[in-house]
Amino acid sequence: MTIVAEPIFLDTNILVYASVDSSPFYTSARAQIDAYEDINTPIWISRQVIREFLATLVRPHLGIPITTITAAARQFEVRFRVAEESPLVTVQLLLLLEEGRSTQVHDTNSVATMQSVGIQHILTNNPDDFQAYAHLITIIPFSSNIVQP
Amino acid sequence: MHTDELIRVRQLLRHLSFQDKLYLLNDLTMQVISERTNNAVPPKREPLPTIHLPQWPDNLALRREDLYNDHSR
Repeated sequence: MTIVAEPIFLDTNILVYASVDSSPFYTSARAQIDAYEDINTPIWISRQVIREFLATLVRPHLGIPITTITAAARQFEVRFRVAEESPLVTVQLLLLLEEGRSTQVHDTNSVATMQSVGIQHILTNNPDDFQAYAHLITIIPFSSNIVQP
Repeated sequence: MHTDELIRVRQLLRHLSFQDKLYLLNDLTMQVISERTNNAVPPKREPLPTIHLPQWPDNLALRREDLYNDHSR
């Protein structure tokens, strides 16, 4: 398991796995978060991540009461540090897009947010989506951190 | 930094162009934020939320291209 002491950014999928009890990665996601906190790793999310968490789960066919989802979002907001959507994020986003390595604006915005608060590590189950920025950030694939029983 | 040095810096700043001030403001903001990131006091360890779903849906949008319906990229 790759556990770093430097600040780490949780991608939206990690929050979904860690909160939905029927998720195949429910236990593992929670264990990984706990493992980081046990060594006092500063864990960060962002306003974008909170918004995407809501958007992922607020789907009528899922039938989850909205107050259950919003309560979870509030708990994440208290538990983790939240990177704000500052003008710096936009400055970084535009610079990154101009580099031409990726046209994935929403993923790029996450990288820009990380840069705006000085975070270099991201834990995600979509490591390929951030590969374009592997020269700037360290991508920790969630799957590589799963401890097999 | 001593008070007189601070005063000198402030005087210097007054003579800068608007663009230079903006540049320095960005630089200063980045430094302050970075210091906060590294030295921030950890938040209280609240329990992680649990959302009960009887079955894990196989069509959950867990990638941004699905979430934003952005398949053109």
